[in-house]
Amino acid sequence: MSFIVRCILKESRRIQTITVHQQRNIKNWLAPTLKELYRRKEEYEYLHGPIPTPKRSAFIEWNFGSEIYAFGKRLGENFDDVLLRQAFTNSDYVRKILEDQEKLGLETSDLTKNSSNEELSKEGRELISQYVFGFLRHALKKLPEEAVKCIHDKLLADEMLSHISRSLGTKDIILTTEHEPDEKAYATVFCAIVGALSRSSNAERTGGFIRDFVLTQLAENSISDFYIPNKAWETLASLIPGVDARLANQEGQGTIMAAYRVAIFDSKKNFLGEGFGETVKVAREMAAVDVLNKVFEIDESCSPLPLGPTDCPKIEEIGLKMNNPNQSINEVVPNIVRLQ
Amino acid sequence: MQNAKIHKNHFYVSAPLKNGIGRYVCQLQRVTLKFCKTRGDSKGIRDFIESYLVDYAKSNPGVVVYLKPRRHRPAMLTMEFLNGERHELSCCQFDGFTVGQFLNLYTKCSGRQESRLINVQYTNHPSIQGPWTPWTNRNPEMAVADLIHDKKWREMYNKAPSATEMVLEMFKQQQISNQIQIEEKQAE
Repeated sequence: MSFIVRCILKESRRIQTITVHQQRNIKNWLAPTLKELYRRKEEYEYLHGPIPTPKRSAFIEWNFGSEIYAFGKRLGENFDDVLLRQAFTNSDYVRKILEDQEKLGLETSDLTKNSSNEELSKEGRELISQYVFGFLRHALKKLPEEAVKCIHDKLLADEMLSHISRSLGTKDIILTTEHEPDEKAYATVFCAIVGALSRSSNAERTGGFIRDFVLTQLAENSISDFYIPNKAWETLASLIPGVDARLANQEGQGTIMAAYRVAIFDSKKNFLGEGFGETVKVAREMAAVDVLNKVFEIDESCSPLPLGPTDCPKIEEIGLKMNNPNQSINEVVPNIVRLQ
Repeated sequence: MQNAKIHKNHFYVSAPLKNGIGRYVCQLQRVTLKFCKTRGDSKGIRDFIESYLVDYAKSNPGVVVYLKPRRHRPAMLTMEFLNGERHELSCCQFDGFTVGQFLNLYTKCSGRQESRLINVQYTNHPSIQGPWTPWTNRNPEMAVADLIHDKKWREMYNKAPSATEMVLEMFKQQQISNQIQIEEKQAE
């Protein structure tokens, strides 16, 4: 019923696929036409260099105001229009505009050095950081502070924030001098949007926004994927005195398919956890990770994060935890009864 | 679908950016309605614009609607999604209501190309009791040490020799004394 037409847009570097629906057949002239267009494009690019992809904002059907409005509504929030526009304006864009205006000798209009999203971005990043810390400490009470910080850093990395930003559709709206915004620009814009939201709206809505877009990245993956302890066996040995690792099984020694199974017991010979690995050391490390996951309650059987509309924590509960770090990894007292 | 790609375009159930776990974000970003003001093909889309478009725009404020009247050009809908995909639908000789129906359909799409669902179910934790290991269905006795016949353990836990060991000792002594007797006889 439908097929993909590999249309080569005049200015596009990549061959952009557009899905065209409801055509029962492919005409005889289509393939030769596309081949000819492709040949001409290659020839042009050989002589003149690559053709840049067109910016969506350069199209005739583009209305910046509508896009900004729709962006806010799509996320289900009420943004202040001026603040949201500011959130999308990168500092290099502002600088270029001011330079151009100076060259032409015009008086600087409404754009000043403070019209960029730098300040909003700093505010937003601080808010995201605080909320993420508060939420993780509230939801994962047994998780030590070092682990919380590790997960927090991964969530606030430029890579993660830029991925979220792109998926929300900021790509076409961002105002930059570069042809395509880079990772840092996306991350800055996302933080600025959070900053704009906090100024337009209340803390509850800002918290909800951060929870729905940043913290949901933890949802389907296990939390233990975000935090893998560095020296698990040593940590475990210091937490549970008398902990004992025994080689439970081994298979295929001397081959590339060697497998070892290490089980960890406490001083009273209670089974705590097990791990598998290609060498004994790796297996012991994995076993220690297994036990630590049980101690910190981030194992496979832990309860899911409270991200849904019914079980999400209130902003007051998060606020309590924002400045109260969890216990350090050295202070953890594992509940051995629960581990068995 | 091109025949070569029909089997390669497959996917598991997933939502873009964990959509729905927190809040639902409509994946349709903008829609462009291209039509001719006079051509008969575009009658349906013109009816849609007159009767249904404003209601659609009000109920979907997150979707930007662009109208593009182009003389002598066929009626077309171009949908752009948050994942960067563009879908084009020819609306020639459509009814006004049909255009609305298709638009509603695309409002609820994620923008993925037509692809084959591998399975209706998906889980990040496929195993409840733990995945298979080489020792899953093995006899647990393989991990039990055999202490009865292990001399080192016997030396540690059981100082007295077993009956078998006593007999073996007696046999050895007998062999040694036999040997001595044979040597004495030879010496004579």
